[in-house]
Amino acid sequence: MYGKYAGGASRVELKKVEYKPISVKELLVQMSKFSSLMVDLAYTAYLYNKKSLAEEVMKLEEQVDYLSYLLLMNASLAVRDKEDAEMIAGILKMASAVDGISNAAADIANLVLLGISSHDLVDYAFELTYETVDALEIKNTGFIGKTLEELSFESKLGVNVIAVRKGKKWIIDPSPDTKLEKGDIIIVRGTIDSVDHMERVFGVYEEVISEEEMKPEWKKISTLVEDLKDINEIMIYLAYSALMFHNHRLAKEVLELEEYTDKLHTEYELEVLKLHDKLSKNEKTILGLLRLGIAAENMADAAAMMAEITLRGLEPHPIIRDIINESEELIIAVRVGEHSDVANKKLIDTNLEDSGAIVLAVRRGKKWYFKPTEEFIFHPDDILILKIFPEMKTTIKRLVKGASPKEKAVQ
Amino acid sequence: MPYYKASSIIKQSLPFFLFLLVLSLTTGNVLNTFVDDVLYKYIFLLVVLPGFISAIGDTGSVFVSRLTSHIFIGELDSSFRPFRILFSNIIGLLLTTLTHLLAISGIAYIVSLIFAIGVDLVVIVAIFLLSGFSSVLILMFFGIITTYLTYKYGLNPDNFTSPLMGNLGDLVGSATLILFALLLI
Repeated sequence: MYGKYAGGASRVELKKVEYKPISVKELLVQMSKFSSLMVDLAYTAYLYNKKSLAEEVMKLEEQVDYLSYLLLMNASLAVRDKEDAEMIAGILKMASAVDGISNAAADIANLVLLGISSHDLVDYAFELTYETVDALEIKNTGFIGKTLEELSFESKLGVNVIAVRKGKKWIIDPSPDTKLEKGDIIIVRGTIDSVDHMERVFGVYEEVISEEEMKPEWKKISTLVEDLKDINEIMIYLAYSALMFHNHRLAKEVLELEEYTDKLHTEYELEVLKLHDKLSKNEKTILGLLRLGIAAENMADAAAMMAEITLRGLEPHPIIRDIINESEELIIAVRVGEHSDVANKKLIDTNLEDSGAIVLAVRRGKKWYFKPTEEFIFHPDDILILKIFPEMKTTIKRLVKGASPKEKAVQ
Repeated sequence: MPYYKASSIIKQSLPFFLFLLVLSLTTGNVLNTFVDDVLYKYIFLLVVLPGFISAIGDTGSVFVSRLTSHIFIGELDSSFRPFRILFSNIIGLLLTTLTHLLAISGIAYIVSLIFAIGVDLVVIVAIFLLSGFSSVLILMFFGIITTYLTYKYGLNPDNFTSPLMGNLGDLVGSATLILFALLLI
């Protein structure tokens, strides 16, 4: 469901679309940057009930929508023959998956605009006790006409400016010489304390009402919410990587996770419905919980759509590689070898963390474990989903798979 | 105004077709000027001329078509960078042109033997290679400009690029062929 049609909570003006010469690559880069920013902002807006942030998400969603039209136009002009058509099919599918992610994020943000506040169990689930984001308007004359470098929010206030909006124009990852004008919106990321401090400086600080204690009966739902969000994140990572390396195994893992999400989502909905009396007297809060699940499901579907491109045998177009290459981390899926250095060991006893690898998930047969703790023991044949630095790829693969018999003989 | 209406088609295409008309009249003039001194004298030139100029025009069309795809997708940016991609397209098409030109030279030589025109094979090959490559390069230069216009204004390649490259190919091809014939024979 589209936020802008939902009960008039937001009044986004739809920009008229007409052809503009912007390349498909540039449009896709913009769309994926916007959509990942939206996911971040939307969850935060929902958790902390921040209307201003939710409104920014809606504006970004309108922008992504607009860009998707331009992308369709430019892509249709690029096609000449069947090779072009095959190549563009993958790109268009990817674009619609990115669009799907942004729609799901907008649905979450729209909850805030509909006056639906989050349940405290979600706060516990997300463990967002450390970092947060916020949208702030430049009004203070002390900031007007200064560049980000001159203001140096990072060193003075400990927050990072991750985006700037000037009217309808967005700048993601702004450079230090970006100048701030009156009415600009800056999106900042930092620890909760530093963002609170920033809000005080901007005169928009509102005290958050202290949270309820975590109740034991929330535990199951809370875990499910946490899993759903973690899976979403991992799926999107995996889907991008599958596309980039034309890797069928990664793509298959995404589809496995999609099925798993369906299962968890049903379980989650049933649990929320069963306990709705104990969770909250406010039916809007219950509705919010249900909608959160639907958004997670939609994001999973979008990631699956991206993975499907690989499984359909469409080669990734070089520009897809360029788009994904901009991120510095790499996602890999490796099977634990029987005699490897991680088999039958606890995570903390392996060299994985020292090599800079983060274990996002482990699949054991049909069962998944997300963000395993240090005490987690790896079994042979487990599939590890790892986030690594590209230069460590061979080292880490050898660590997890174990040396081949030939290499052992040499050693 | 719907795009399929006759009035709309005329309004969109007429100025451009008038321009193309001027181009082809110029080509006709060039040919007419040298028809006695060059073309009838060296009849092999006249025999292969249609094939030669259409090959040049086609190469130009293919070049622009490839470039526009690259630029719409974003493999090339609007200032045609990275040049690596631009150059590999140029080199690829020049090599294709080479085979074309050698074939045309062969036919021209056979014709010259039939009509007993005493021109060396080496000279004939030189004429076609020099005029062929120089006109393809000139066409590529205009091709880059055409591509930019197609991208900027979203023009239809079938209505715009191909006719333009075809007509330019006729003009540049005939002019260079006559020029090198005059210089080398």
